[in-house]
Amino acid sequence: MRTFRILAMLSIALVAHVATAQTTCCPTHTPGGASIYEVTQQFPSKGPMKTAWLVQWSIATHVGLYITGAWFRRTPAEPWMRILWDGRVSEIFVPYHDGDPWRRFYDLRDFSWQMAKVTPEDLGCCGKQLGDYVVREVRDRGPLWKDHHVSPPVYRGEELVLWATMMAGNYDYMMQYIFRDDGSIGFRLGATAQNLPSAPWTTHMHNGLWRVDVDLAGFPNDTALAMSHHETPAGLSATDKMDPFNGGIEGSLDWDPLEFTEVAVRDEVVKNGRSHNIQYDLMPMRAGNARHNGPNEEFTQHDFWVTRYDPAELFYPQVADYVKAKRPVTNTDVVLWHAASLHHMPRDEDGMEVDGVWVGSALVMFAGFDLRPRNFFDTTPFYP
Amino acid sequence: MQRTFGACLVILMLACATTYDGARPVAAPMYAAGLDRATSEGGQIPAPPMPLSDAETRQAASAALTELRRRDPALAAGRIFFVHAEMLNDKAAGRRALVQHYRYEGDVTFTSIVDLAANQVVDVRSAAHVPTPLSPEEVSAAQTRALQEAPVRSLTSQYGQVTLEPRAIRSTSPDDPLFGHRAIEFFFLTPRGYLVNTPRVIVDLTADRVLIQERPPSAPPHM
Repeated sequence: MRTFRILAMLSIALVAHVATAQTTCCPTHTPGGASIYEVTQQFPSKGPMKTAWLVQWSIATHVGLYITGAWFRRTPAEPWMRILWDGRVSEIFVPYHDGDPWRRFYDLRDFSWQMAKVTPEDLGCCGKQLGDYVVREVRDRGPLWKDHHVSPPVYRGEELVLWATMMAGNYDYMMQYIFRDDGSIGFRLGATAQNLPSAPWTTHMHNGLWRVDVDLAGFPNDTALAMSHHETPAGLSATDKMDPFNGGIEGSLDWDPLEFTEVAVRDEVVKNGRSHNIQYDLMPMRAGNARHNGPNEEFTQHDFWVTRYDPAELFYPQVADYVKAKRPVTNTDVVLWHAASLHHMPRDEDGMEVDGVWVGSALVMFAGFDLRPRNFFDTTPFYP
Repeated sequence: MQRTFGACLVILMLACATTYDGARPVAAPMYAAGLDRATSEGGQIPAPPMPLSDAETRQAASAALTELRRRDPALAAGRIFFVHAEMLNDKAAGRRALVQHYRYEGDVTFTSIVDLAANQVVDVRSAAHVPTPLSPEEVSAAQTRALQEAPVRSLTSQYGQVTLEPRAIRSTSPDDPLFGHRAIEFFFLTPRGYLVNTPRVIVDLTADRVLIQERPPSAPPHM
């Protein structure tokens, strides 16, 4: 009997210890916000603040989870600076490779999919729920830098993540927005769940098509730039360019793996303490460039597009028409459009047919890109 | 009993000492969220825009349709459906809605911007052959139509509880009989999962007909 008591108490103590350790390992969620549609997060999440995000979000049918405003604080003493007016997945275009003209799906605008309600499993140990559909997480993101010359020789970064899932029929799309302590922002689209019932083994592409309205310190005075790298043929040197995007007018650009192509938005007025104009770079992360050649699929022929802001221009499949106006994209209010694609070749791990029914879920694959600040700080506030 | 409890406490403290890092003292946060909303532009961070309410959606849809008919009675004539409205995250002052209507004739989508406070349409644009949501009425009509077909009735009687899940079809080829049509393919969802190898059932709402294609058994091409 006594042994039983000891074992029981030990078990209770162990469970309590594990629960306590998990809770205390979680970064701290900063409280506050004007409503559930607003989130603030300071970094580091524990201890004196160095930087902070204030993020506003919304959910709509045919859009899913999207950002309706994001402001960043570079230091506790400075006011909030606007970074985003709006950020969203504008469309998800899914053409199948069998040539069937009826299997070229526009998964956002063609359907009225609902969002999935958050479950305790979505939240994990450290997540919190915003309304019915959105998960808020604050994550340890590993070393932000490592330097054996200083002590401590490492700084672990953190990030605020907002994510929600759209139930797109047989598929689930996870939309994630990641706001990091260093001012960078990650945009991710995850595709998972069940293969198309009518063509479960047909390879297809999930094209994530984003519209990002970057407004640095407000919406006027922004210039779109194209960045590229060029090795000198038969030489040891290389050149790196940062030019007005498409000569300074609306247009498109292809991602070239040899040129490390990026686009950027630079504010022409606001400078950092070292007299450099503040800027955000759009950094692609991609396995390839998706090109589709059906009628009305011109929007897939390039990887970047830049337009001047127009409130009614929200639809990626029409972006090739938007740029025909050839409006200037220097020292004005610009919008970035970017495609990042998931090439889904079905595999046995996706599932199988059992008695006429599909059983199995394709494991999630993510596509996306990052927005990273350039000359935004005087120097990083996290070193040492 | 007390000795047992004491022993457990010692074991717990020893275990915590090895892995528990939450006991480290931390300074109180210097920043309390919500107290300060000043921006570098000189103003204050506005309250987050709220999604459209049902009443706002109805108002915006009605205002947009009225304006379409006013601008061009012929343009807005025919089979026209309200398909979507969302809060417009616009930079203009005031609360605005983006509204979409779809007209069967010409496969045209109208996009309107409605100033909700003024109940006024401030912008209307149209585009043909672009992705446009299905209205609930269209989906419902297509489901009813599909359920009248023998292959669909056969599936529902064979599997019992079968949900007809709609997938809009947007044919991209001008040579295709479904090009420019409002068409829906249905998948069949049972409590055990999606049925595979079923006939392909497509309701063409524009032509008011149902296409049934027998499907050959699919063979997984292992790559």
